[in-house]
Amino acid sequence: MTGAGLNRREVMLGAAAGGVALTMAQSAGAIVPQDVEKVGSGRRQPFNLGWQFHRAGDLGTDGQPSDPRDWRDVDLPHDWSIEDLPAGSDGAVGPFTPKAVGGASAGFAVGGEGWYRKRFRIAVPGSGKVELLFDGVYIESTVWLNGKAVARHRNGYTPFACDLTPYLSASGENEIVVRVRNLGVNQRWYSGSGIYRDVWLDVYPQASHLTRWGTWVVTREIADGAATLAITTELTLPGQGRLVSRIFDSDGRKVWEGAADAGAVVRQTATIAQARPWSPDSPRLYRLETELHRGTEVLDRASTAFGIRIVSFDAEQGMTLNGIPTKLRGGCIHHDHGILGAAGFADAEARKVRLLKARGFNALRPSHNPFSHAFLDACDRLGMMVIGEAFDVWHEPKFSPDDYSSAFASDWQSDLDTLARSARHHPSVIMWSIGNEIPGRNNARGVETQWQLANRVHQLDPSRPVTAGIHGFPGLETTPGARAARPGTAGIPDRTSTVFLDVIGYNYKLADYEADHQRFPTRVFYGSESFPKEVFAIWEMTERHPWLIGDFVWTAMDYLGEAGIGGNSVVAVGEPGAGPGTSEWPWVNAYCGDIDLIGGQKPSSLARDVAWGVSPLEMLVRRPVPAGQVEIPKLWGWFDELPSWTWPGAEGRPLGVSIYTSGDRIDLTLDGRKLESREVTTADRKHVVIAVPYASGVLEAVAFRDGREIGRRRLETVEPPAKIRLTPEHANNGSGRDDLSFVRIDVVDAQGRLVPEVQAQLEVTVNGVGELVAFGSANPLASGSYRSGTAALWHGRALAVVRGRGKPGRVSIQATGRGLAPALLSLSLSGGKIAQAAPFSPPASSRIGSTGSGT
Amino acid sequence: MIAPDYPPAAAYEAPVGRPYRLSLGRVSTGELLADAQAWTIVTKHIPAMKFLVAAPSVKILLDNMTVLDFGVFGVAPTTEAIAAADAELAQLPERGGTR
Repeated sequence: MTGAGLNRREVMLGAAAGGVALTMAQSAGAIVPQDVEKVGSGRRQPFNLGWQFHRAGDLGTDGQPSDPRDWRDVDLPHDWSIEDLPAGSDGAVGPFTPKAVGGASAGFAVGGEGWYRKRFRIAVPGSGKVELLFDGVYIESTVWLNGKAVARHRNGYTPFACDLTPYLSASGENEIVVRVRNLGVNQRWYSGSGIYRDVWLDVYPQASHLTRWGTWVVTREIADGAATLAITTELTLPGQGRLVSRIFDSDGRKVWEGAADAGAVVRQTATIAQARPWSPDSPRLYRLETELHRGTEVLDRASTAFGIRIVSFDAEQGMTLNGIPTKLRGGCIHHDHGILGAAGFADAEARKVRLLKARGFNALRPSHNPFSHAFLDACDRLGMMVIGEAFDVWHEPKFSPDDYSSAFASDWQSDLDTLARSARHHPSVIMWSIGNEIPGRNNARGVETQWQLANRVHQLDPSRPVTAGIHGFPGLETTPGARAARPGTAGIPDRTSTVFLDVIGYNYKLADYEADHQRFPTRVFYGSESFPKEVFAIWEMTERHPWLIGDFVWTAMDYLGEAGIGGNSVVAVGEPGAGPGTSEWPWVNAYCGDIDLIGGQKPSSLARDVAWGVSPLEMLVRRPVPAGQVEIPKLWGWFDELPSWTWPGAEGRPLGVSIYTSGDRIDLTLDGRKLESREVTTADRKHVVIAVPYASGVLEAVAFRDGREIGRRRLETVEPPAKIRLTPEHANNGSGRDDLSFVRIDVVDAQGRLVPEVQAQLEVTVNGVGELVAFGSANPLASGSYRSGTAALWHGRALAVVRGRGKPGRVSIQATGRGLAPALLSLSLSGGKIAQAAPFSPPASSRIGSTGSGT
Repeated sequence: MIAPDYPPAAAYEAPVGRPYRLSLGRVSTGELLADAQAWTIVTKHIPAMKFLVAAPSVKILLDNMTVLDFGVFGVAPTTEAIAAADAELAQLPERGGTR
């Protein structure tokens, strides 16, 4: 909600904050930037730099920050929840505290209140307009310009714009102040706090311009290699003029041009010969350039990336993408970036997509809220299908009355409109989800809300189906009438949870799939959430049935919050009642992801590699459990397995060697001595566990299919830790403030093999044209700061993230640790952003003394 | 290859439910809990449900989970208990319509 709901107190608050800023400008020049940003005309001008931030522990009765001297410079995106809590905080570890009001759900991170301000200089446009666009501010924000309230927004995940025009200063000097509140238990995962996504300024020189999010392209038909496209362009105060649209292919060649009189809505049809469709395997993008002309003057100009693709769903063919049957190899993800917190750097978003794509994922379900523009851009560019999800609650709360349910009745339509309008041009988006595990979805109000939301989406974007994530009870049988029903479904019995959905998402209902297909033979559905340990059973069924179009594991990547739902419990044998449970402090990480918090593969990821054919063979070893105890994976957990054959202290004890393979036989040897040759049958579901008495040496597995070797994995007992190794994930790294360089840090033995269980504290220092913005490990427990430059390794690894300082040059990264040879890495940061880097593959030696091959 | 279309509907009208009988697998736990007679039957055969529904984290699930759905969380009644509870629940009056 923008520009509304502002009361007098909030107006005064803004004025007070502005007053503080002016006072500071006069008395503390070192704090307020000397170079006030000058802004000219143009849309989508980056507005991330040169802000100041004040983290308010509390507010005085006058609404002013308690300590006005405590402003510091920040560049966006910024998440204060990932910053260290003040020294001396009771029990705090880095950014986490057992006293956090959000508890385990929030990953024991803290919200609170923060203030931002920024000064800029702009000439007041004559008949034009100046708008500030926030891509995401968590959670409740109020924006003032020169002391005047201009917007209030309550959804932490949807973008919103503020019209600054009426309050711009005649002098040209302006100040924006933003108050952000993240109070109470408003979310059930780590949300982050602050202006955590990008901000832009749009300066329109004329009142007549292209409407924000009003341009989109739908592929209507692909025939004989030619694509027919429907282009829609909305204009604000169009008046007289012409709209000129041009389409360019990925090589920059113009492939179509058309013009039309400028009305409020302009519809054009374009035909592209020899169209190159978009798909995850071939994510080709086209660019629509739109210009609004009046005479010889160009009033406005915008560029929209789009893809040519047709996605269809039916129970007999399943899902087809450009006519090709396609399964959704999916994963659910949350929006945080682990040690970076929620800060939505485009490089971090793209890295997440690259990491998952490298593991065979072709689809992601951003859970359970709209993600950043940068995430969707990365999915478009790198080739990843997306289910765009709007809500985690509707009218009724989930866990806390502080959640979005309190705003739902008044805000759902504007938030849903924003999601669909802002993202419908992305070819990566294939479905819209109107909710996840919604409380109250089966009562009368819930069923009507389902219809309202689905119908609104269909009004805004009739090119995509509507879905939702349904867990547990799908509701009573119910039959829609002709006026409300989806086409072709009137009079056909359905269930209350699903009656107005086009494609159904099932959360954790593998056991119901085949029976539900019998009940609802025309239904198309997928696993919108699933347990990692069901990977082989799920994919066996998914590949067998066309109506089952895919699966989204919970989760593809570890995230902060929902602490400890993954992993395992070690309990006494026979202990009554012992079993999988949720962990509490000091767990901060859900630990249910395939990929860990810093980008490494966990056991479930290696298993999935085999399930999806990314690898023919993987071998891990189960951590020895003390005598008299037994290991039980949690609901979302996995056995504690490592690709390691270094288990000092376990000599002679039988260890479980866990082998995942698509072969039909495996041979296992230790130092060349055959231990076992074993058939792998259909009943094994691509997984066998072989007990091997531990002795140091080389453990090797070879997989065969039809008598032919298809893969080989080797685990070697490593020597004591000797040195630190730094490995940049990319050879080319940018130098801008929005550019991040990710550097993997491993502790290795004298032969360069990862030492998995080393207990080492490392210190990282960065010099030159970059700054260290995060350093930490994948440890699921609160283990320290992510910002201090000092961190303990976990499983022998850590990650450093370096942010450019805004100018090209060299940056040196040094890592030191007691008893270890230090490492120094020098990177050249270039001025230009690398648009598309190759997928990152971890070096074989990072697999803890593991090497292997596969065909 | 023609793209599919998902047009909006004309207007909302509540879908029509049909009569049904209570059972552990075909109605929500919340509906059973709201009916004193039904809940007495459930807790007589599956006493653990009494404690499960008192957990704060479970309350939000009650309308979206059948008693049998809780099996995924480790509360799996025996086949005999299910049959006995369902037989008694089936004796309660039929219900009908959209809730």
